[in-house]
Amino acid sequence: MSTDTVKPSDIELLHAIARSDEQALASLYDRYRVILFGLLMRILNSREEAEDVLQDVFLQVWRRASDFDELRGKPFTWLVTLARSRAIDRLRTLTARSRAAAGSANDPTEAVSDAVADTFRSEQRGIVSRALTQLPEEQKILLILAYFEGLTQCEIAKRLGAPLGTVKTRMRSGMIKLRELLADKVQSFGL
Amino acid sequence: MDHEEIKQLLSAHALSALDNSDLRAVEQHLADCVSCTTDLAEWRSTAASLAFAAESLEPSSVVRDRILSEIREEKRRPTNVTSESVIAFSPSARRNLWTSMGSLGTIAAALAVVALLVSTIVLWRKNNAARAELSRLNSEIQLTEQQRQRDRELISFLSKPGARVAALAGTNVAQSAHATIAYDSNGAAMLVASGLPVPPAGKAYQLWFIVGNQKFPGRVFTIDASGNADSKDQIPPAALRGSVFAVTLEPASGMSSPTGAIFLLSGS
Repeated sequence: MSTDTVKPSDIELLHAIARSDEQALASLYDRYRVILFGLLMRILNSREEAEDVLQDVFLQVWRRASDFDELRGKPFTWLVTLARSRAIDRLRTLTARSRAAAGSANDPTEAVSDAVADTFRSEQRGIVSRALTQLPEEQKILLILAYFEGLTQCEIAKRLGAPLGTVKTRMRSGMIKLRELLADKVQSFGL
Repeated sequence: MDHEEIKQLLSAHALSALDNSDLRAVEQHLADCVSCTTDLAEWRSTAASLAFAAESLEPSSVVRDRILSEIREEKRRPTNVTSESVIAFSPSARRNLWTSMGSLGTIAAALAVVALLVSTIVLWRKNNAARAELSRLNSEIQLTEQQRQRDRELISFLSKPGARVAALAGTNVAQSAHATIAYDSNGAAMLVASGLPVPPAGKAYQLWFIVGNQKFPGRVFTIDASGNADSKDQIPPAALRGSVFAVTLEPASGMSSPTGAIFLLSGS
């Protein structure tokens, strides 16, 4: 007997969450916890902070699922944008704290157990990593500093000692190139 | 800035990399431009793909438990006093009653039924009043319990070595509001606030740590139906000494520097 079951799409899960279906939230969490936690760890470099923000993100999803507007983007984009925004806010509150010290307190990470999801993530990671390696170094560094460190264009210009106009031009060129390289290649788990 | 200039900034906006002046111009333009709003959604999708560049990592299993436990608690919080109907007053039953009134016996029986109904309605009203009172008492008990929980947490904070406490008073926009912030020598802090007005949709309160001209953002928090809130936070080391604490009204996603009115403020 086939054990295949049709998994609900992300949009279906969000609609169910908006109706206070906690199982739907658990499913969405199970689907995206690893990719979101990886992102939060990359930004915050602290397991404790990243787990705290991950919890905040899914509580926000629980409270604001009805605000999600599928005409304005995919659920995956919404989730990642929410998680990253929360992480950058948290990062800014920790500006005076030594991130290196926070990083040294990291615990070893637990193994990723879902082989199928792991394979999917590896494929997507490969696509994005290959795309990044094809970007000129001076464009790639700008995207990394903005996305993972939450720096604005002025802050990046200061950090790199580059003219602001150059930073703006390179960042835009980098994003255009990245969009071309990723066109239709990156997917979320539940379309 | 014209439409074409704004379009040039959308990819940077998707990375949250715009500085304040550009950000304001883009947000004003987006309020009226469907084409740019659609473009921004595409740029955000491209930016979100960068999440895959981070290493996949598994959070502790306790995070899932904490989230599910919290949402169950949230679902439980509103006390739903069941409003079961005491009397099922069906219109069709009423019609049958009136059409059957053809004799004195029927009239007498009908009068008895009416008397019974009147007394039942009186009892029903009393029952409703009792239920409303019960509901009010339940809400009070729940609020008291929440207050006790906050007090317990505050006391626990204050019992830490080197703990300090500061009072925040309501400003002229929230004169009945007040709050207490307790914090330890590592900067772990807990804010307990009361009497805050319900914020408009899309807005929430945010705590700030102010040292001289520097304003360090704290967490965004929401209030319960009675205007109470408790929020744990982390005071940055630079703000641990001589900091003034303030609470402002900000966009619900929080801000990196204060933009809204001050509702609560501590002394210097």
